[in-house]
Amino acid sequence: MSGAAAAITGVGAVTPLGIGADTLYERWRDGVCGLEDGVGRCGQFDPLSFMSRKEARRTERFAQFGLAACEEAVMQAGWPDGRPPYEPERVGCVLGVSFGGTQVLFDQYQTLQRDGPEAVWPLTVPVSMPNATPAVLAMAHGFRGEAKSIASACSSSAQAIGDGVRMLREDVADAVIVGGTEACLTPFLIAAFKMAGALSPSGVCRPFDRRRDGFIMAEGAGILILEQEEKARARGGEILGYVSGYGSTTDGHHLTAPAADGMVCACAILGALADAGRKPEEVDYVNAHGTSTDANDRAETNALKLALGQHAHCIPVSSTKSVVGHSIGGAGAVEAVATLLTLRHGVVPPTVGLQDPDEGLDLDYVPNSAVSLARRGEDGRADGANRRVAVSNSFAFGGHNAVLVIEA
Amino acid sequence: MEITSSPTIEAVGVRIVEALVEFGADPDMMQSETTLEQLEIDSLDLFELAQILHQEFGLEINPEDFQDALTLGDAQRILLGYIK
Repeated sequence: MSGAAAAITGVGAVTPLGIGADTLYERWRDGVCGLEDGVGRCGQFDPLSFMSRKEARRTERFAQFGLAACEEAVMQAGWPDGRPPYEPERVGCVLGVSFGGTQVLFDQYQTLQRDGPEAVWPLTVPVSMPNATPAVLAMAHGFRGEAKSIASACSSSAQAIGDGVRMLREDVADAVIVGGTEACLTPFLIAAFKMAGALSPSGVCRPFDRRRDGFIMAEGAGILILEQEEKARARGGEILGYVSGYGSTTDGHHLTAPAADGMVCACAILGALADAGRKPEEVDYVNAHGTSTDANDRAETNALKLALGQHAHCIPVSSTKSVVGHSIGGAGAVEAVATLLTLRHGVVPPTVGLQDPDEGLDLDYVPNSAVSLARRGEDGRADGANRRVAVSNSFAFGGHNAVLVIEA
Repeated sequence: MEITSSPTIEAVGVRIVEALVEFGADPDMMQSETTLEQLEIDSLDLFELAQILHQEFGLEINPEDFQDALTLGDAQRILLGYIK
């Protein structure tokens, strides 16, 4: 049974392509790659452009990204002075994050070893805690409803968005700030991912390509404002699109590797489509998890074929990570924002770097240059079908699969 | 840091203002009648200030002593009271 779609009224992003959701979409569409020296760093981000010196001092980089992306999103949503247009207790926040403020933890651990316990910074815990971003967003924007962080590695922010949709459907909130953020480009975590065999030794992201050899670690944040549709309309908010479905499964197979057959991922895709009340053949576009690891890209291709059948060969599938890398807990939200804008513009940005698709990886991965989406409503589809429909995949270490259906 | 002599009221007073500005307080508002709320100084700042004054001057400050401090002057009086 499907549930009500959540209306998207605002989006924001901080990514290696720059500041802002439109910047993310337009540069990706134009084939610009934000990856440099084997990482995806948000080099244009200056926290003092978005917050006071005091706020910047009391927040780690991941929370700063969240504050900046949320500011953009609430402004687009037309929230007056960035404050909720509803009772504050009826506005919540669910954000994905995989690690939180790890740099502060590492620095303060060194302080402990060097200078003893009395030298440890009193703000270590509030600055590093994974839930720091919902906490500072509540202080900045004045919402007072349920707020929390979700940690499920690379699926964290897709699960956060799905959780927010459920909060709206259960009518425990009129609006929910959802998304995710991550800033974990620390030498320690880069080394840890490298030693787990996940990172690209060549430092190049080539999803679905024969030469792909791992993902590129990145940082970034994506925020979406979700509202109950009728309430958004009643306040005169512009509806940009919808999160209409969410499905999630767990492989139960391996700590890091996806199950090669893609069967359990396919169940998540089908679950999300059922939740949205959509059939597989209604999908116009897939925003792939597309990490550029050998295992993911093959398992994901298998999952798409299982879930969508022959229709998987008829639609574009592209990877945002090809230009912004993998921001772990932020990735699903960045990609949800990119997916929404892809549908709204009707132009699918490419999988940059893909030149020679690997054997068996035979979907249309949109190599190198953008392609137009067919216009809905022009082919005689029935009522309500004039929205374009996209699937956005997130598959994680731990086997957590989270799939969103986004429409616009 | 090893503390070799008793700190002076002047030195501690200067360091308090420096620390609060470092925490983000507006340097132009550093008058004794300014409230801690106006300076956006909260309990976490006072914990950090206590740590700094302990490390640099050897003062053993109990942050709970600040519970009734409303203004910068109140906080300064409590802190300087620790100097023997």
